[in-house]
Amino acid sequence: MITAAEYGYTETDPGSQLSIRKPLLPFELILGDSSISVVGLLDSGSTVNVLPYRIGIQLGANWSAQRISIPLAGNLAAVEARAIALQAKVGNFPPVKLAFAWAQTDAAPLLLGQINFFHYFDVCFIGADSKFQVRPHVHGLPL
Amino acid sequence: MNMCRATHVESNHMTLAELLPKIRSLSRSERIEVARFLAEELAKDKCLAEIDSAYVHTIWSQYDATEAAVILQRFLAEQST
Repeated sequence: MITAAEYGYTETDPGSQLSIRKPLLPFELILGDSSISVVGLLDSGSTVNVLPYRIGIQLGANWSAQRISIPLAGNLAAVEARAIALQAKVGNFPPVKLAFAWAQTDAAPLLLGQINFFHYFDVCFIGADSKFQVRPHVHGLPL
Repeated sequence: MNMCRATHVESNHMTLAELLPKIRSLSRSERIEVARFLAEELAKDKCLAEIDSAYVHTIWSQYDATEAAVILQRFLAEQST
């Protein structure tokens, strides 16, 4: 049986009246020999994963080499985005390949959405205790 | 006295007449960023707090971005072949 990794919600603006706790998942993104530690918002309502531009650049990704355009919605509708595949390592679980809409903006946060983060991972939100649990989905896509 | 609205640009700064053509020359996405910036700056003013909910809150979530999902799924399938 796979033991879930547990994380606490993150208070984004402590002390402020507008402070809100968010399920931000720390994990590692890998491209070739490069890897960086990032934090992604677990957004089960988002259809796709979204990668801010600077993170792709930090990993050494080449924007021009990504040929597949991704039409985004909402506040990102005017922003160009391209498909990119990256390895992602969550906790001590085996790395998985995540597909991102790599957006040409740094305004948006890194979003972990249905395609394809939630295909690989089961997430249990325990908001009342300000924590969430993540584990690989045993019947999901192959790891 | 209503102090909410700036009515002039100080002479030692770029004038509005000089600024507007530069804004027009920006790309559409950059102009949207400018509009968002201005809305956020204005909403910081207590006198305009009521417009906060209308202009400031941004929603990055890709709710129902169906076409994006289809393309990303196809992209993943091609990656695995």
